[in-house]
Amino acid sequence: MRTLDPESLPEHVDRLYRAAWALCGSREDAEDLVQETFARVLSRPRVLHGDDDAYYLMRVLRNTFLTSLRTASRRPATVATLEDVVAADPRPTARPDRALEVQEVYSTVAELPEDFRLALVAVDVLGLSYREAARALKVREATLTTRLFRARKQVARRLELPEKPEGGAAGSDVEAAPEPESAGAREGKGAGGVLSGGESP
Amino acid sequence: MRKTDEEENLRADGEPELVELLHSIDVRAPEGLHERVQAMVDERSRTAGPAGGHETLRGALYSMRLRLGALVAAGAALGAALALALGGPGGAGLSLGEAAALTLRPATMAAPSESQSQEGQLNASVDGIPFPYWKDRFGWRSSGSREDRAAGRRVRTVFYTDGHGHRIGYAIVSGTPAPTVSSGSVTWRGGTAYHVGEVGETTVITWQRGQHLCIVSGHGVDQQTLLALASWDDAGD
Repeated sequence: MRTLDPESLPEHVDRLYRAAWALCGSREDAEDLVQETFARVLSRPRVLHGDDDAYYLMRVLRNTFLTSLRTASRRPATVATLEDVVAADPRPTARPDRALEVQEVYSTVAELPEDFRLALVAVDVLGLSYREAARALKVREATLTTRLFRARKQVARRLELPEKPEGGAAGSDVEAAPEPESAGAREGKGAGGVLSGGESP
Repeated sequence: MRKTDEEENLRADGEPELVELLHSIDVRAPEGLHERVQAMVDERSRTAGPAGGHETLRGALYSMRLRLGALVAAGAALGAALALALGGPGGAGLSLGEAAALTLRPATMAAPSESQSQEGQLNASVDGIPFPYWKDRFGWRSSGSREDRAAGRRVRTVFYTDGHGHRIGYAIVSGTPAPTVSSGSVTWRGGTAYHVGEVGETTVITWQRGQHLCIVSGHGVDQQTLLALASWDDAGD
């Protein structure tokens, strides 16, 4: 058991920003999401139960993201402004030639169903192990694996990448039944609870 | 790669090209975000002291109590230092530079969200004077906030960022009557006097809302933009 060292947080900003961008599909919303995530984390001392910082940050990112989704759903929809379109050019990359590619990839990820999106972001963008991702998202590993498989497949199809034929252990394409806790979280019952479930006494 | 990871990849190694593509993305977060996170961490370190590494639960609870005490002490010291630096409790006014400083510091707290009940407002206010919501109308979204003391008053500042990386600080000083600010010319908009001054190359606008001093400024943001934003807010009261 250890407390989260605030001084270590800045090194996670880039990784968390990429995860947030893939979740939101927008750089501006990603900035807000990351800032809100760190504000939550820093609001009080956090006790980690032997977990990796990235795992813990993914949990808070997920909760913050789900909270923001619920808030946004209560707001009237707004149309994109010219500035939104202009801002879609993701300049802060080391390879400007890939800027549009990054935008396209993350936008495609952001179009996935929420559960698939979170699974793909946790493993393929944030780099968590399956075990850590499953715990962070409060699902069984089997569920996480199936969601990830299907998420990857959908994104690859939309991006027109070469697909791997279906089959294999995770290729059954039958999602494991979600645990009651996971179902509750999707209905907005568990978002706040995760924050208190293991962060600090 | 750990053994467990290798095993996992065998379980769901679909779309290797996509996985490789996702892993290869090296987008860096905007500098402004890095700065805001660093500012939040610095603020937390100042108020809570250095965090421990590996601690027991009892140790963590103990250190939390210590940090609480340190937070109170540091908060008092910080408030006293800022009050001294910015005019002291008995000060009746602010210099233009002091007013500008309130709006140009880094954010230390999260951005307030849009009010769901009051159109055109954020969920942040000082003595009932709300901060405006500018995102839909002007494209300036709230990106952070902070609290200070100046001239013996509590000051809350909300920061707004546009799509080009410019930032504006909007400060509201608590208490009435409003402290005076030494400033330059006066421009009238909708019956309200807006004082326009310059600190270096930065324009600073001060005016009153509900007898409370308000300040807006931002590096590289022109006077007309600042005036338009400030006066729209005033009209929206």
